[in-house]
Amino acid sequence: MIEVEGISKIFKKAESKKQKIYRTAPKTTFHALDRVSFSCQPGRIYTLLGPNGAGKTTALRIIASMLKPSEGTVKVAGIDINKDPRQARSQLGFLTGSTGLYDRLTPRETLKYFGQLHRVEPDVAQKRIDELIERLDIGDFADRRVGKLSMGQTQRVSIARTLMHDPQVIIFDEPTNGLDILASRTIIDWIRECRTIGKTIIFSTHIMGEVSLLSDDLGVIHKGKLCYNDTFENFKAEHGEHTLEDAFISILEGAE
Amino acid sequence: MKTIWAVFKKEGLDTIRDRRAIISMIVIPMFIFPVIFGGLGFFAIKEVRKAQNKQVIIGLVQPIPENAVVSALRETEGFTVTDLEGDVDPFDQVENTKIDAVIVFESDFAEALEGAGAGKMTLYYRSTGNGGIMRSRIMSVVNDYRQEVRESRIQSLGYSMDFINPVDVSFEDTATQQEQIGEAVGGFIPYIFIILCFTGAMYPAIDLGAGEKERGTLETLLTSSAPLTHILMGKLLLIICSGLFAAGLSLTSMGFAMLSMGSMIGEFASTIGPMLQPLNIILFFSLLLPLTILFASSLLTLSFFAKSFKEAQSIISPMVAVIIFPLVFGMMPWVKLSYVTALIPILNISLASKAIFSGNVPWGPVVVVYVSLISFAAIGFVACTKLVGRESILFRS
Repeated sequence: MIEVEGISKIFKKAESKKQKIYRTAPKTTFHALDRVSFSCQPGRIYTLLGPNGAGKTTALRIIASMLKPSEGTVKVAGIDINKDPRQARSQLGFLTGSTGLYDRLTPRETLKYFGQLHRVEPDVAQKRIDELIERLDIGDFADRRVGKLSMGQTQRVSIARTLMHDPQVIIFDEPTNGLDILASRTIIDWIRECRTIGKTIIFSTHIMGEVSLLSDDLGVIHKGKLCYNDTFENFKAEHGEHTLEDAFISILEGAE
Repeated sequence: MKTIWAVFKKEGLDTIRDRRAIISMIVIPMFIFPVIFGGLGFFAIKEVRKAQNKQVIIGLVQPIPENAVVSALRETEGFTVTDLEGDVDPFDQVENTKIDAVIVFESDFAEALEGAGAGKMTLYYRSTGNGGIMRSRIMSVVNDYRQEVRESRIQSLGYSMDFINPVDVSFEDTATQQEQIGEAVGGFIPYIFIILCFTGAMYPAIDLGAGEKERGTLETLLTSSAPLTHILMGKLLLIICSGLFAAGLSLTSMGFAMLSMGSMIGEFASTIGPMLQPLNIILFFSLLLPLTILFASSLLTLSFFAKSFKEAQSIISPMVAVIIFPLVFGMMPWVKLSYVTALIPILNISLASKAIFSGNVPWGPVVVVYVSLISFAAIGFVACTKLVGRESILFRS
């Protein structure tokens, strides 16, 4: 369960040299997120949809407690990220399309390392590594170096790495970004699988096709503001006659 | 503690499997001393010996006065003397024939010598290459003759040689041989070790910070429940070990180089040998440890600051120059270890090791060096953990 309660993020814009010397303009700030609230339930997928630069990644990084919110807070599985970020992180898995792995480690070594970082007990970790290798069909290349694997294989290792500490909440930040259709499919299938076993899932994308494939709940984010937040069923009912893309554009235009 | 160890082990494995890191950490430190000693030392000595033993062909231009100096030249081993016609161009003979040197005597050479005058002769030779050595070989024969004539002239006047040598000075050097060498080489040895220590730490540092950003693994690392300080400490530990490993390896390779080439460069090896006593080496490495911590902390901070591997390299490479400057400054004989210079990092270790290797350690300033280096290491470490935790550095893009 994730409860996002009115988070904002203000970045200071870097001043140009000229501004620094002459002070021609006051210090500028940039609202990457403006009081965003929503919640996601276990066994459901919450899709965060938005154009590039809308604030999706910033929101997800705050939920994952990599960034500190300027105001507001987030509860991950009931744990406040401002109060106990480490405990919150132990309940959280994070996967992005750009997430890499260590090329010179094997999948088995990678899983072991992340088990250690998350302080999974060694015998539990060993069991889970075997289990993940089997479930994700990694066995054939579990002892080959990651750098030598295909993209699809690497993605499966990335998923196993995300699940290594058995998190309750999993964040997928544009996980199919830059992947080919087969590798994307692996990810999509696994996001569904995670839903089946009762995980709370946030998934961000700007690809409309993925929205209808996965969403239970939908949030549309634009220029740092959440301008739609409801179940996907309701969204479809409201915009029945339009294609998804038209509906998305009309929401963005409504928010302007 | 478990996390630090896990990070250290993983980064170690990762680094060992990285060919580029192995070159900077193992290959260069292993071969630098054998190359310096063997390559430069051995060949330089060999060249000089070759020049000293070379058969020199000397051409004498007629008319040739038959007196003692000419017969001495003819008889000296290693010289082949040929007589040349009076109308040859001596310049052309040296440049374009096998003749190495040409001597032209003035027509009144013999008469001047027999009287009280000076016989004039001109030596044509080529100063480049080993010409200097050849010239001094010829001149030593001429000088012997000179000395002989000088003595007989003075004696014929009824004086002794002291007549023209009124002040007789002899020198006693109170500096021990180890002190002399310590000053000459003591600054040079740590110079190599410190540079190697830095370059050995540099590559892993770039890979462990900027490399993590570039591969996109930083985010996964940050979402783990391990505290960032523990992750950083694991990384720092590996960088420190890489630096010290490179320095230690170069010391070992220097030892082997001296043992195996001892016969060829015997003099050099036997003069450096007494400097490298275990106590000196322990003292030096105990100074190198805090400096390495400072290096590792600054390297890792800069590496995390950089957006990519390339940027990290272009930020960090100029730092080598920053390190070389105080080291070269420390090699100057007039820069001494004092309570002031002991405070300046890098310069202080250079000066302290100069003192340590020359055998007389000024303990007061050396203690200050320790205090200074340890404080800088602590500041570097704290700054690293504080700075790297910042959002503006971790997510700088």
